[in-house]
Amino acid sequence: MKKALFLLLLSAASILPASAQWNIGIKGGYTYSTLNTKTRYFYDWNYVGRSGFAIGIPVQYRFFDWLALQAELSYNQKNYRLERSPYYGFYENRTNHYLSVPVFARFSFGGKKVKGFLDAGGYVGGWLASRRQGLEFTQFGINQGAGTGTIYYQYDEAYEFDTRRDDRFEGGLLIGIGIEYKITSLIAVQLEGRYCYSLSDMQKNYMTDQAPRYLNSFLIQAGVAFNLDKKRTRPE
Amino acid sequence: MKNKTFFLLVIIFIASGCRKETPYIIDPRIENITNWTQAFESYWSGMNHNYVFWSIDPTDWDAVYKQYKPKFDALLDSGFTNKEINNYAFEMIKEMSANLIDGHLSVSFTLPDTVYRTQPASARILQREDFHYPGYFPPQWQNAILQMQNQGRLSDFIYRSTEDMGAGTGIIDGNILYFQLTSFMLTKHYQTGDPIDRVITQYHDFIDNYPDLKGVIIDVRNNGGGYLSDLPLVLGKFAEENHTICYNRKKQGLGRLDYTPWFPETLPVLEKKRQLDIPIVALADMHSVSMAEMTTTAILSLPKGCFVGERTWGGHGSLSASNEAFPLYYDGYFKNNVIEAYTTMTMLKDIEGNIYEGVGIPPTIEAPYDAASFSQGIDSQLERAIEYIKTGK
Repeated sequence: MKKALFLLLLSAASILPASAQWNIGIKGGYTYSTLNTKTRYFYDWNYVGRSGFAIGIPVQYRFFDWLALQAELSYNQKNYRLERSPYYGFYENRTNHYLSVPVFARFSFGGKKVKGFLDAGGYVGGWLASRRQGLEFTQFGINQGAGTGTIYYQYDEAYEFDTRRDDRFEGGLLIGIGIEYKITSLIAVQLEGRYCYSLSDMQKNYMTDQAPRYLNSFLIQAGVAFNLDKKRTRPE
Repeated sequence: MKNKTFFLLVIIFIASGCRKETPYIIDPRIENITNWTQAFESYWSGMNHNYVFWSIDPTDWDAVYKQYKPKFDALLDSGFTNKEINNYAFEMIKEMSANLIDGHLSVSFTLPDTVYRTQPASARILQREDFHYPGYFPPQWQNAILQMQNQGRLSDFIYRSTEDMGAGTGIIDGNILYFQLTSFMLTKHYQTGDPIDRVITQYHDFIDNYPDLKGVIIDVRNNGGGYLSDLPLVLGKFAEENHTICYNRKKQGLGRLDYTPWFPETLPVLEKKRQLDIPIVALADMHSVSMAEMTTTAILSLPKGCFVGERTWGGHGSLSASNEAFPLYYDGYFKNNVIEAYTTMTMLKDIEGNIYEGVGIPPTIEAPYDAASFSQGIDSQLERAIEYIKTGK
């Protein structure tokens, strides 16, 4: 069985085009994430998007001029905000740290120097940590009567995961669009926009009548890619 | 190119179907209930999304749903007119609520001809090995107090009562300040000039001016709680600003385990004339509930705080018995045309991280109720508190 698999891989490699190339790079940029959930009768609760940042190391294998397979190791901040009515002014900003591995096909088009591209694929990742910062009221603060004390509690603390509820695996689909400019045959700069559509609930299936939560992200990233395969690079 | 774009859109469309849907969840506060099937759904769902203790409650609420839903579905056509069915159905409500740990929980169903009610904690406390009824308050306690006065051990004592509470204060054995109250309604009386206000004024005067005080006993036995705003009137002269007495948290979403962070509760302070570095003892028993327990928790947070007596009731949440409070808290109490779920909005833990909801606060020094002593006019629990202040043991 193993031998057959090895032969299959070998034969697949033998039909790769002569122009196949390995590229590696680095990139980073801006993220804007939104929590997709329903609050039902928690009437004045709104989840709104928040910005963050991302950095990543992409590795690309280019089969043809127009088709490549790319994988990345990427740190993404996927942040959002819970807002109560302005009357009360309570809120919570959540800063979520994710390590993601997007894998996708890149379809390129255009000229030799400047190319456009479209990405389509998926991603998996892990929810590493989270922080919560916000404002709440205290019970003895709003009921202080004749005394004087603290009414509000302003907090900024690490979020403690609850293993019964929090699902720290994430996975989803992604699509992207971008442009690449080749500075030399070995170096190219890229600018891209990407939308990550989560298919994994942030919570385990731990209760009946659960409102699922999906964390979607939009990314704008700039980066540079280096061609590792000098010998196989065709002259410009 | 057009084909590729179309292909991508199709994938996204299919993928969106992979997401879970949010179920239809209705606010139990706005429901109009006409039969037991609806009543069960409303109560179960209301507790599912509003009960604040799911992180520590042993009840498997999903199993409850699976077990009881078919039984209530079978009553769909019965309405509320058949008394026998009503009795049977509410027995099931009682069963499914029996192990909910909220010490305040009281579930009532108001039907056209009957009001059904269950209070799981009241049933639970009867199971305690050391259970006793609170009947010794006030008669036996008053006898013991009178005996102390006759013996010259209790001086400057005043006791006043109104329709909502009683309170008394005096000096025991020359240097121990004693303050007793049957419920926490002080805020209502404070600065009104009424009898309870006079007790408060006297108590504050003792704290500020009585010479050579060696300790304070706050007696909250058989105290059913009341206003949180009473806390500064009782303890506000014993702490500095920003002294943390406990932590609270509320629900923060529809999920059972969605919570705000634990937020520190600080003791609101009153103006004071002197710094007292003396033992402060909470005297509480198994009938000390709610604000009486919160006061005990607050005393235990003080540098020289101590709790003498019996394990308390075990209901430490705060509660506002009105649907109007929902937009502020987003959990706890709910009521509609049939159901009233009197359940708390907050979960409390002490400064050491202990949560005693449904269990009761264990005393630092155990002093069980002693009926024989009381019958002889001796309040053995109060005597134990006095002994602690005198000996430090």
